[in-house]
Amino acid sequence: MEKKIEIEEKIVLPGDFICTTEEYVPGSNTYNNEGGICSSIIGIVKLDDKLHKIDVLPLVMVPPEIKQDSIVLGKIILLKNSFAVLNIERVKGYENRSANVEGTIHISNIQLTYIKTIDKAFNVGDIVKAKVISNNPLRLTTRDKNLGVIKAFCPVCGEALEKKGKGLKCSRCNTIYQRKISEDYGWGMF
Amino acid sequence: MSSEDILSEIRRDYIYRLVRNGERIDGRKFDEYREINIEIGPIERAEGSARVKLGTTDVLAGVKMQIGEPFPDTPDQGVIITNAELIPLASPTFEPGPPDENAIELARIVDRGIRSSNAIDLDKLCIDPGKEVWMVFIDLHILDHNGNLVDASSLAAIAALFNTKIPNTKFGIDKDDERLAINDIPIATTSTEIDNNFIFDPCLDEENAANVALTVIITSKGELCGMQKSGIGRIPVETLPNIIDSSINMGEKIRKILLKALENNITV
Amino acid sequence: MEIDEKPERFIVDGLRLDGRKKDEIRPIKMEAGVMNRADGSCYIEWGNNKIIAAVYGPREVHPRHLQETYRAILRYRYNMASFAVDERRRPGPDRRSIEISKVSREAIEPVLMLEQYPRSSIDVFVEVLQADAGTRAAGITAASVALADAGIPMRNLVSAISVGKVDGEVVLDLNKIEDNFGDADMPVAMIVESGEVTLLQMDGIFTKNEFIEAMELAKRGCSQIYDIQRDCLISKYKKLDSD
Repeated sequence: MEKKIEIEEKIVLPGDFICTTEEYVPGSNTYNNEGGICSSIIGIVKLDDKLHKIDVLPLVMVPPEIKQDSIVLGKIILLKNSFAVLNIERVKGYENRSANVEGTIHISNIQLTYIKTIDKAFNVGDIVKAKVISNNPLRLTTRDKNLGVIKAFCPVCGEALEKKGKGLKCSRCNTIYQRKISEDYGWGMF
Repeated sequence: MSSEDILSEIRRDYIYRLVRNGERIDGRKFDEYREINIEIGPIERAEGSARVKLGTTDVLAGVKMQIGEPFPDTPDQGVIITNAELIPLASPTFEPGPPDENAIELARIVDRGIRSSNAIDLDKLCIDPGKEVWMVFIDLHILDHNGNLVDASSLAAIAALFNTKIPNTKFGIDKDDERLAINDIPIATTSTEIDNNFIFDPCLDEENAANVALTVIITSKGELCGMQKSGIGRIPVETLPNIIDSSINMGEKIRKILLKALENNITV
Repeated sequence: MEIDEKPERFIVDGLRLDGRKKDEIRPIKMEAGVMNRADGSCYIEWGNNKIIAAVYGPREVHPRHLQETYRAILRYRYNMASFAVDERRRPGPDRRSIEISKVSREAIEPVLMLEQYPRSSIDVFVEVLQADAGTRAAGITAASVALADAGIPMRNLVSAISVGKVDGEVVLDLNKIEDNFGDADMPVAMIVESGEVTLLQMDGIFTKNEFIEAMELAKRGCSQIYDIQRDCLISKYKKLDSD
């Protein structure tokens, strides 16, 4: 017991030996080094006695980790018949760090109601807020009310589009576009 | 900015909404500057130096002096060369490579204020007419970019010049180094337009949200000694007198902060 | 004023011109997390060196063809401010800074777990604001702290120092005069705990025995640097932990 506290309260740095692999299994932010478990980041050691696992809880801002249910922000870079590709640039909870992965939104995961073609929901360049369904492969959904397009630009004149009823309107050329709009559209926050 | 941050694009709407209500993202008034912090002489190896923090925007100016040939059309005048480096350490959008148009514009605005206010007496920098003059290199190193590099850099440059000693001994000109004589303190004041309001000392999000910025450089006498409209936006003519009034006002305040920093430095 | 000629003696009565013993390092101040925009950073004052290291990433690779499918790429840019040295230097990379960038990158890369961030880049920028001998060692030392501050997974920290020879004697952490006019200069970077060398360059003349002595001194020097790096990080994150 005493030893546990001793291990747990200490700040560890990359490379610091925590314990041997006979005692615990290496968990997150650790690595195995010739029979020893070492930390790979600056953090605090956390023991999981049930699983006999050792984790290091980060004290630093770590690069974004994308998990199931993570909320992500990105730009639509590609439209196919049955899915859209989102280039994820930010992950909620890690706003100060850039992310760089691509995820797909299948047409069935765009909204609750039927959608005929994908271009009725997204266009290339739209900024979209989405939720992660699964991590590997990275699949996303925008079904919830607060998910979907949160900023879009007129494909004709480049003007930022304004919310108008259920669609988006360009105030310069008056064209109206259909999208899967998030209720946060134009609010200006992630 | 070439690869603007996705969050900036999102925040634009937020900033506009705030400004419409008379507010700013960090709670400042429209003509209020962020905290200004001036460190005089941090680089001992330079002839003069200063580091200016404008909120979290951070600029280091270093002055180096060398002997060189004068320009043929001004044989009895020293030479000022101002250069700005937007090093990739300062912002995720800065890329390594030779100065781009933004860096060059920045350096030229800073240079313009110093030159047209006659802050440095170029006649005094002549050593041998037509042959040898002092060349004053003002190098601006941007360390942290959080908006309004122009004002921070201009302030760092003039502060560094105040701190500059002409290296007479190093070049065998004289047996003593002497202070570079400074005749004026030009202060640059920059505002950006958001929803028809002009907002001074824009932070990065405000800068990215706006389409146009106006820099007005003010001499110690309250005259204008340089201007620059930057960005694709438009400025209604009738708004200009108000902006200039504010600039004169701000210029005076910032000049006092600089003089105080210089005073403290001398006493230390 | 700087001494710009070779002094007659570098070591007088057992002390070097700046008053240090042969195995003594210059004063070092280090602070992590000093930059606002960067993901991790470190400011170091080492003697009269003033250097900032900043880390960005993992982030998208530009240009895209440089990206690697199974790991992140590490980029390291060592740059010197034009006012960092006595004679104003032209801004931008020269052959010296390109070489330093390469060997420094190779000094740091062995400890990074780049495989955790495929198709991205981790960019390290080292800016020398004032140079005073030993800038590459100070840069690597600061970069290593900045990477840890950025939360990039690492197997360990890297510590660096330079050793050299003046008046026929091996000395630790060369100052500017010793660097300019000494007989040998050997920057070394190490993973202190494992005793592995990740950067080794040598310039000048060493006998084999001198080299062995120098390496021993470098090891002891790196170990002191490692302690300073640890103190710097722990003091920053202890504060955050207790808040």
